[in-house]
Amino acid sequence: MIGKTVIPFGPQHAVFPEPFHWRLVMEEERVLDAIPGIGYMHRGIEQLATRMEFAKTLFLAERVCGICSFMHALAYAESLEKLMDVEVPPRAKYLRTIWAELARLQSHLLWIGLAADAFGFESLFMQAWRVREYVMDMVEFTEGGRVMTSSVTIGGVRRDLHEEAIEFLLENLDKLEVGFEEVYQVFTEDPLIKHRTVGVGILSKEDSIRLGAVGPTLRGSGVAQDMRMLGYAAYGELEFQPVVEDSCDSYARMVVRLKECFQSINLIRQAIKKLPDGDVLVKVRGKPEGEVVTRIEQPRGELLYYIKANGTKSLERFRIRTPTLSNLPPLMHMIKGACLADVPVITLSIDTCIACTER
Amino acid sequence: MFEMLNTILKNLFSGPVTRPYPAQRREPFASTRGQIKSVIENCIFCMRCQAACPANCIVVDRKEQTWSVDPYRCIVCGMCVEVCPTEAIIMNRHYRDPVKHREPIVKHQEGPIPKINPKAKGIN
Amino acid sequence: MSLVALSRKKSPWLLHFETGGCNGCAIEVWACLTPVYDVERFGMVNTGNPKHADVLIVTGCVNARSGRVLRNLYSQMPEPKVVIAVGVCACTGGIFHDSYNLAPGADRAIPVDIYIPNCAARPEAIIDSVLHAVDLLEEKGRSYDARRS
Ligand code: SF4
Ligand code: SF4
Ligand code: SF4
Repeated sequence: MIGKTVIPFGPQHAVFPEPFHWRLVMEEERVLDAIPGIGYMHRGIEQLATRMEFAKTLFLAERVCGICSFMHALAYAESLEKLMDVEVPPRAKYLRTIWAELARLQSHLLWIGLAADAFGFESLFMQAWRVREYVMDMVEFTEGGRVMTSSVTIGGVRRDLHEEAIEFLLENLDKLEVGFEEVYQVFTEDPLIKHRTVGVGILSKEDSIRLGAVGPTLRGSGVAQDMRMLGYAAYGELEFQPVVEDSCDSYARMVVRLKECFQSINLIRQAIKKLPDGDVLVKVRGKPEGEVVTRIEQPRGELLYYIKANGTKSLERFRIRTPTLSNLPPLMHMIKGACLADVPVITLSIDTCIACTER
Repeated sequence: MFEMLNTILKNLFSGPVTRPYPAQRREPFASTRGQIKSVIENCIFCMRCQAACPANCIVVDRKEQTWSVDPYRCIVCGMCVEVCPTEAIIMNRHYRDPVKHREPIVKHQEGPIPKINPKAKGIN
Repeated sequence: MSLVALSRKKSPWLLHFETGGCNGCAIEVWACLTPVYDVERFGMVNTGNPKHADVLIVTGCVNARSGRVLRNLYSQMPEPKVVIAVGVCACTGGIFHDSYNLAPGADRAIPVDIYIPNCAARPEAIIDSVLHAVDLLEEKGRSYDARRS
């Protein structure tokens, strides 16, 4: 009988781009317990926000996470607009929707690449990132930056889409769809990927609700919850249904993300078709006062912003709850009892983003 | 099996997707934010850019008539360009080159401060 | 030129460590390794092992905890070595520069040879700087060989 061993996993690990640390308590090949160690990426954003002017905090919020920077800026702008009673022009709402879906696409494609890398499927990783560059081109063409877009502001958006940009978007969406179709087929049909994911990391429907999972992790367990259904930005006027899978394993979560890519392409096309004319920015005056909670669907799940302002130029309290934080308890539940070789796959299946979790 | 052959043939006859970067540079898109440049002759030292910069990297000195930026702290958000009433800061499309030693950029204006009416640009 | 010096120049290996920025620069470094930008054209390989690496790419701002890991990685790398700080976070701290737990710049923890400004650093700039790092590596290698002999 072998006793328990503790295996450190990370912080510098080839599978993750971010420092993430697990202490795995093992008995032979089974994981008995997993203790996450965090704090490598803490930047003190919440405290910094209480010292900065609220208009500048937008750029700080954008830099919570580089993968979904647009979503954080959107959540911040939406919260302050609620506090200050600003009505955003309809065209700005549609532009926000288009850019939010582009951000979702690039985040999902990034995850698909990393997941393929974790399965040891190097060529698929390269394919996914090749396809992702179409999205990055669209982002850069329309927003001015590849990663940090700085295109949302309180009261609207900072840039408009002209004719040429819309043509560029439509053209690249077609190319993207063709390229993504190939990746999708490999992912759903390849026996190796099925072998690594089917039945690995089971999270039942009851557990996912009890442990508070969000986003694709929750939808992969058969619960149709999607914050976009709340109808922020222009989502209320577009047609879509949350993507749900009910096999509750890593494979289901993967398929949810893959299908959401098609959904995003479709949503962008719908939004371009319905794009109204008019202004994109209204002037905002005064200082925010009061409390507000905003919920936004990030690529990884529900993002929650809590802002308390007291009429001065800085916020009084700025609190972010990111989807990865909500998904950590389900992850710890799934890792218990898994094999050591499955730990990277299960960890990736919730699409961890440590930068936002530790802020 | 045939699918695989298909993929192989397609890959053989399609060109590489890699951008041959240093040999051949792609023109940046028109809307790309690259780096900020100061047109010091236009500057009226109103300090708006200093107040608006989220990274606090611009220092304007009205007495000495200098305008300086720490480009290694600038996050290229474009706020200073937006608030400047006289177009004394412009955004350029080309990214800033990597360097071995980082130094702030200091610009000094000669002669009297120009009298440009800030209202001319429609911002007050 | 000795064989060792030649291989240093022809095939430098990269070690990437994200110290704690927003990930924006980290994904741009990854983008450089993938088909569209592909630094492997220049014989560079991304490695996870500091003992194999010649070039350390640091992205993000350094806090007390990740600074410890960073120093640890740096000291494990064999001489000669080049450090590239990617993004304004690694150069000076960028927008986070007056946060309570950050060192303003990676050069407070380890010596940095090349700084790439911008937030996020563009892949083209990263390619420029790794090419530059190869020359620097050659130069450092020569003085290292001279010191040893
Ligand atoms: S905002 Fe423009 S005019 Fe005013 S100090 Fe800055 S650069 Fe000069
Ligand atoms: S671009 Fe932004 S960060 Fe850079 S100097 Fe201007 S306001 Fe400051
Ligand atoms: S420089 Fe900008 S993009 Fe890069 S890690 Fe820092 S905040 Fe993120």
